[in-house]
Amino acid sequence: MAYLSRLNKREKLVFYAAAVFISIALIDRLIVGPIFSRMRLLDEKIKVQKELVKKNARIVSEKDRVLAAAKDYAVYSRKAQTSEEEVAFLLGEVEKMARKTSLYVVDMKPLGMEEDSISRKYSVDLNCESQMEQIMGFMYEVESSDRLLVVETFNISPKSKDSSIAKCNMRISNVIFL
Amino acid sequence: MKKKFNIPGLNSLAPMVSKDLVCFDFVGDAIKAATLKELPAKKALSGVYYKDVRGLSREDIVNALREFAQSSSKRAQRDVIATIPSNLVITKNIEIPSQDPKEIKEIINLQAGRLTPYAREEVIIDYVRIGTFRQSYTKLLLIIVNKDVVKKQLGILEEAGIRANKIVLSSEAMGMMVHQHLKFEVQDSPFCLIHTDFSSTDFGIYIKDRQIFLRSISMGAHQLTGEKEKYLPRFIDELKKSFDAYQAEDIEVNPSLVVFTGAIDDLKDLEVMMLDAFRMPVRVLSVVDLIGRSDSVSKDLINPRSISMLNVIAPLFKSETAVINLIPEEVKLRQALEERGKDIIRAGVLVMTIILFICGIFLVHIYLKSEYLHKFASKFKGLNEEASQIEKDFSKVRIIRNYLSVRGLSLNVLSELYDLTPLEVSLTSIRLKEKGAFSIRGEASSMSAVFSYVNDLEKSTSFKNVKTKYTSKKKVDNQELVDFEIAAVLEGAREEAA
Repeated sequence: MAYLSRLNKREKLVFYAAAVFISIALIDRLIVGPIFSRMRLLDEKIKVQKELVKKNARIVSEKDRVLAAAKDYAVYSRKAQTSEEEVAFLLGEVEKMARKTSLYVVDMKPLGMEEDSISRKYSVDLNCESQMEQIMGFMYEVESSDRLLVVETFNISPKSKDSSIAKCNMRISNVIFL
Repeated sequence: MKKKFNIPGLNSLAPMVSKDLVCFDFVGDAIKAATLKELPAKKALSGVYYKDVRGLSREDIVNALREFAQSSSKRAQRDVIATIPSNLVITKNIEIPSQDPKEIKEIINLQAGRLTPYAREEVIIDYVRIGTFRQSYTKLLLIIVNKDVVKKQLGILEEAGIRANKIVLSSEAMGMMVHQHLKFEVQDSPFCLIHTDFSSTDFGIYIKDRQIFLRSISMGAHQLTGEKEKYLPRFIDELKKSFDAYQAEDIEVNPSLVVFTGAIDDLKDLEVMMLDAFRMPVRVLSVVDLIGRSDSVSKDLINPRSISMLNVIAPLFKSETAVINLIPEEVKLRQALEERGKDIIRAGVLVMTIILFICGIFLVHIYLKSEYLHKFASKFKGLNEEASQIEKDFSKVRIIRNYLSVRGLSLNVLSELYDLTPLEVSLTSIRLKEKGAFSIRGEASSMSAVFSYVNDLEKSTSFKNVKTKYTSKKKVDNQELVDFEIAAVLEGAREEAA
């Protein structure tokens, strides 16, 4: 009070204006801002929920079609075991097919695993030598398996000049669903 | 002092609750006090107190006041006013050559020393504006009181724990009350009020509710009833002198009515003498006639014998409209500061209340939205879960389809190469990389065979973007051969793995 009474009219005006400005800024920062941001967030959440419900209603309307398709491919839709089991299974399966097609396996090693929200992919790197027919036979065996086995990459070259034996490096993958 | 933070909204709420008003007069031989209850619709006298203090010490007076303060209302909502009797003030009828209130105040301050036997700092001055004459002159009734008298009175009150907000001139308030009572009788003409108390009498002239003349006579009901023969002629003589003094001042026209009030129970026969002295109508009014009957205070208390309580009762009813306030400047300043502080607090509370109210509205809004969101999510939880499962199944189907669509591609490529590769071209490397990138290396007998081979590959539906990466000639066993590398992208290859 005493301080205020010492100020002249202009200084008082500036003082009051500053006080009002600071008060408004504080109210905005401490009360209005958080309240409005919370309200905006809630509005956004409600909007997202509504859109999600619309989208989900559309998806549910396709339920029969999706279930029919899923039933058709049920044979490939195998549940995942542990990683070790899956890798062992893949290596065993590849070896079995190689034996069946008389493919000479030079070496074979697992390449690890890639995973997303619904599936997991295991790959093996295979080095082998054989006649071209046998390699193609092996490829055929892989790609007609009732598991989701795919030859992802390959590199075929003659073992030596004028040789009928080809050496081949290929990456075979198996997809399993979670 | 002008209020800086006047909040009409809050002031308008004040009449919603009752307020007590207390008036004190203890400058004379007695302590007189009266209390008024101010209700929203009416004002009612709620108590009257009288105590003879002749011969009592200051401490005894303080104790008596404290006793009264404690016995009356203890509520915080209590305004206290003190009155000054006319025998303690000096009055002057003067003319000021200005009409501007600020200038009038300055002139009065300058002339104060000339008008009183005291220095300016020793007195408190206030005035009643009687009217304007000669266009630029203002007639005033100056009321001057010794500051020590007021300070002494306020000091005693404060010692008793009572803080007075206003000091009014009792004769002004009494005149206002009489005017209210006789409004239709006197109308706009001046009237004379003679108010007799225990030991003094006020002689006042009024126009409407404005006091224009005041003279105190040091004779009251005590003398007039005790030694009637001795004092009555003197009293009538003093009244005449007062009337002559009024006429000599040339303030206004003569009054049309004389009103006699106060401690008049034993003095009713004075009416005839006054009529004879003034030669104008005289009305004798008791205090009860003026204030009306009270439910909570008996008639005997309002109108005790030889004592007039009108000088403490009238200010209760007229303190708000009374012009004269003889409170010292420093007290006024202190009150203004306190009032300002209260106003700031009130404004702060009001602002906080508004902010809280607005915040409350927003918080309710937020609560309702949260509830809505919660209920909305709960209602469609089943749908969302079902949709999520369907979406997962659909993703599986999509992945499986994607993989199945590229099955056999590698075999098809090799088969296509077998068909398209001419005899003059031999392949040394066939490579399928990720995302369908495909390359072949080999040797050909001529450059044209390579380009023809590239052309054939371009025409094939299994390849796209067929490009020759390099061709280089070399000689092997004196035979010219061309090394080449061709790159392409497999048609229908998966862009990305699962």
